[in-house]
Amino acid sequence: MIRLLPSAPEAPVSAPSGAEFVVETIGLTKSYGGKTVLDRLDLRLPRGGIHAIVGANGAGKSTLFRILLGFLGASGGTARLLGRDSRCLTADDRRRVGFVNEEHSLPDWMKVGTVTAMQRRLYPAWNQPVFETVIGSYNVDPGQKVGQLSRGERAGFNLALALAQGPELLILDEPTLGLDVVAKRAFMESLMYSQATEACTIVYCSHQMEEIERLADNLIILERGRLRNMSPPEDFCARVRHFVADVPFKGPDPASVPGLLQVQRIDGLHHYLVLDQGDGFADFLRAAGARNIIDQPVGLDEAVNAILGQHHAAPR
Amino acid sequence: MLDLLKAEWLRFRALAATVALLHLGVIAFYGRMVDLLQQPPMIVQAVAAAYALAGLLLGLYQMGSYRRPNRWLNLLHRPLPPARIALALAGAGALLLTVALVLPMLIMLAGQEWMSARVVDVRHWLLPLAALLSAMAGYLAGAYAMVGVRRYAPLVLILPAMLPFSNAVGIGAIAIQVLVVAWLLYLLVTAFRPDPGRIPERPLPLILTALPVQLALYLVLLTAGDILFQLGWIMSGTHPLNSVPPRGGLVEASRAEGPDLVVAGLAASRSPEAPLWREQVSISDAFRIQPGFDQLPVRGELTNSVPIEFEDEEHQVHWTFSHDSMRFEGRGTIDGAPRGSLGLGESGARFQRPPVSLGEGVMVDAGRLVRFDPEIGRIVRRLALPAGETIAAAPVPVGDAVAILSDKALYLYDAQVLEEGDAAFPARWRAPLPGPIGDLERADIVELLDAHLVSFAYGRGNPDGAAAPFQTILRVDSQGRAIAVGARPLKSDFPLLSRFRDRWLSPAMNMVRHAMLNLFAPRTPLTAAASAPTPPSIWALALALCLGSLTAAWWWTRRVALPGRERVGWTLAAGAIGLPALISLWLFHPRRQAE
Repeated sequence: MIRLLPSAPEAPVSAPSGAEFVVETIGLTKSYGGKTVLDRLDLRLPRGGIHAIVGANGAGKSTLFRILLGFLGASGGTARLLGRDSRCLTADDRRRVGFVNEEHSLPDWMKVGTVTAMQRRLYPAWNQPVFETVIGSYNVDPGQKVGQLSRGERAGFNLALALAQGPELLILDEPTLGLDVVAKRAFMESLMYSQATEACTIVYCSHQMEEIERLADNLIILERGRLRNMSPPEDFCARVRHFVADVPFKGPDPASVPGLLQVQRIDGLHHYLVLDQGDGFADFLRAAGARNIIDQPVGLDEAVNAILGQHHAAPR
Repeated sequence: MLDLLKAEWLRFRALAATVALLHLGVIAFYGRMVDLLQQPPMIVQAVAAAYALAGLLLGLYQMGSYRRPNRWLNLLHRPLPPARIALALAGAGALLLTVALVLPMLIMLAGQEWMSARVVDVRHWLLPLAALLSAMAGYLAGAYAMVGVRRYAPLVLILPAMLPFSNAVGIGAIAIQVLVVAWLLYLLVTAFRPDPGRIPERPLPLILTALPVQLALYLVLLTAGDILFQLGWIMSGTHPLNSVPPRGGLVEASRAEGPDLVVAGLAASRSPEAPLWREQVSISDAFRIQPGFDQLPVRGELTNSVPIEFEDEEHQVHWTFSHDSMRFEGRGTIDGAPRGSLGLGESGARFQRPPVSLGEGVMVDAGRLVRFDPEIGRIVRRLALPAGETIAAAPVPVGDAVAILSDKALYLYDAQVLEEGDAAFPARWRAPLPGPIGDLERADIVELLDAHLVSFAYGRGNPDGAAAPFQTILRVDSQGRAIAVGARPLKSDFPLLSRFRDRWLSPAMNMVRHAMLNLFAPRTPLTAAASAPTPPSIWALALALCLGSLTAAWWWTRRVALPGRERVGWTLAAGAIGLPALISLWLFHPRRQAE
C-alpha cells in the first residue's frame, strides 16, 4: 500500500539493510543562489514496486537523485537511501543501488565484452542470465566498441548492466530520452519482462506518460520542488475529472471554479479539468447555466499534464 | 580498481604510444647533435617543464572528461571507495606518462651507455624518474584543478611550478619531487568524492589544501604588486634602472666605470694621499671582478649546475667529467671512440668533488685551480688557496697579473701562475673581503705606482631585501699589506616597501616559501650573505596587515556562519599569515554554507 505519510522521527544513520523505505527525505531543500529547486520535500518510498516520478523540467527530479546518491549537498533537511544518510553512502551501499541516466555514459573506447567482464568482477551478485536475457533483445556483439552502438543499443546495454548487478534499488532517470519509438519499446519490454525487476525497487523518472502508465505502481508528481501527488496512477486519474459543458457566454469566473486545473473553450463547449471534485461539480456547472454536461474519463497523460500545467507560466 | 586502471590505459594507449614515438624521435635527433646528458640547467628545466606540461594536459583532459555531472556520477557510483577510484585513474596516468616519457628516455640512456663513449653516470639513470615525477606533478595538479573546488583548486599548480626553483640537488631534488607528488596525490584523493564542491572538513586535508592555495596567493600578490609598482615607476620616468641612476646609489655603482667608482669611493678618504690617488686612478685602467658562479657542482646532482666538460682541440678529444669515476672521460671528437680517463696530476687521482670548467682547460676544484696541459696530456694543479676557501670566479687578467676571487679574499698572482703554478709564482697579495661573498656586487683593481687600490662594492640582492649596500677601498702595497683607505655607504635606490615586500606582505608565508625552496638544499659557501634585519616600520606594517586580516576573518567567518572551531582556526590563520589567508578564506567560504 503506497500512501503519503506524515513526517516521522529521523531514522538511525546505520540501519541500511532492513530499512523500511528505500528513499526517505524529510524537509529536503536545495537552493541554487536565490532559486529553490527542492522545497522542504517529504518523500518516503517503500520497498518494492516501480515508483514513477514525473514533473515539469526544473521540478527538481534530477536534483533529488543527485542528493539521494550523495553527489550534491542539500541546503536543508535530510535524505536517506536504503536507510543510510545520503552523504555517507558506502561502497557497499552503492553496490546495492543501480543507476541509469539519459546519457548512458559508458566508456566509448571499450568493447562491450570488456565492459561486461569488468562489471561482472565489480559486482559479486552479478546475474549473468539476467544480463544475457536483456542484452539478447538487442543486436549487440561483445566485440563491438561501445562507441559504435546506436543510442538504443547503448540504452539496452546500460540497462542490462544495471539489472545484472542485482541491485536492491534501481534508479532510472529518463532512460528513454532521445530514443526512437522502436528503441523505447525495446527498452520498456526489457525492463518489464526481466526477472531482475521483481527483486528490486525501481524509481523511474520520465516524461513519457505511456511508459508510466505501463510500468508504475506508484505515481509521484513533483512540482516546483514540492510533492504534489503520491498514489497509484489509477487513483490519481480518478482524482481528475473532465467535464464538458454547454455554458452560455463566458461561463463562470475561473477563479470561482472549485478544483480547477484547466479550462478550455472548444467549438463553443467549455472543457473543465478539475481535481478532487465529485458529482457535485456538475451541480456547480448547472448553477452557472450549463445546459448539457458530459463527464468524460481522463487518461494519465491528460491528468498529469493538467496538474503540471496548472501553475505553469504561459504567454499572456 | 585494476579494471579501472586498465580501462584508462585502453582509452589513452594509442595516444601514449604516439607521444612515445615522437618523443623518441626528438631525443634521437637531438642526441645526434649534442650530448643530452650534459646540457645546462636551463635546457634541462625547459625539458622538465615540457614534461610537466604534458602531464598537466593529460590530467586536465582525463579528469575534465569525467567532471561533467552525469559522467562523474557514473564514475563514482560504483562499489569502490572513491579513493581507490582516484588511485586507479592516477595509476593509469602514471603508466601512460611512463610509456610516453620514461621509456624513450630509458632507450636513449641505454643507447648512450652501451653504444657510445659518452658519459652515463648512475645519476643519469635517475633522470627518467625525475622526468616521471615532473610529469606526475603536472598531471596531479591538472587533475586536482579539474576535480577540486573550482574557486581555489587551480592554485595548487604552485606546487609543481615551484619545483624548478628548489635549491635541492640530486637525491634531494628527487625527494622534493616525491613530496610534491605525494602532496598532490593526497589532495586529489581527498577531493575525489561524490560531491566535489564540498571543501575538506577534517583539519589535515583542509590545512594541506589551504597551504598551497595561500602560498600561491602570496606569490601572485607579491609578483603582481611588484610588476605594477615597477611599471608605474618606469612610466613616471624616475626608475633607477630605467633612467639616470641616482647619485651615490647602488645602481650607479654597479654601472659605473671602474676608475669613476674608485674615485667616488675615495671622495671621503682622509688619507693624505687620496687626492694623488684620485688623479692617478682617473687616468688608469681598472679591472673588474665579479662573482662568476653561485653554485658549486655537487656529486650526484642530476644536471650539471655548471659546465664540467672541455675540449682538447690539439688531440681532438672531448673530455667530460664523470661523477662515478670522479675523473674526466675522453671521447674522440671525430670518431666518438673512447680515449680513456683523465684524473688529477701524474697519478690521475680522482677529484674530491666535481670541478667547474672555466674553458680552455682551466678548472676550479673548490679552493684549487687546475689546468689541462695538452702537451703532457694531464691535468695539473696551478694554485691552491688556503684550506676552507673556495674560488668564486674565473681568473681575471690584471695587466701582467691575474686576480683570483675567493669567498674570503681577493688574490693577485703573476699571470705566469696559470702556466707554472703557485709554487713558482706565489700570490703577490691577498686582500680580505670586507663583507660576505653573497653580497659582493663587484670588485675593481687599479694599479698605482707602488701599490694597488681595490674597491669592493656590496649590495647584490639589496633591491630584494639583502643587506645595506656600501663601498670599501683598500690599498694593498707591494708587501701585501691591505689597509682600508676609503669607505662610503651606497644608497639603496629602492624604497623600503619594495625591498621588503616579501616580508611585510606575509612574514609567515615568506618563511614557508624559503623553507620549501631550501629543503634538502646543500650548503654552498658562495651564497653566504649578511643577514638583513627587517626595519621596524616593515614589521609594523606586517603586524597591521595581520591584525586587519584577523579582524576581517573574524567578521567574515561570522557572516558565513562557520562552526566554532573552524571559525577560530581560520581567524587565527588569517592573523598569523595575513592577507593570503584572508583571501583564501573568501575562496573557501564565499557565502553562507546553507545557501
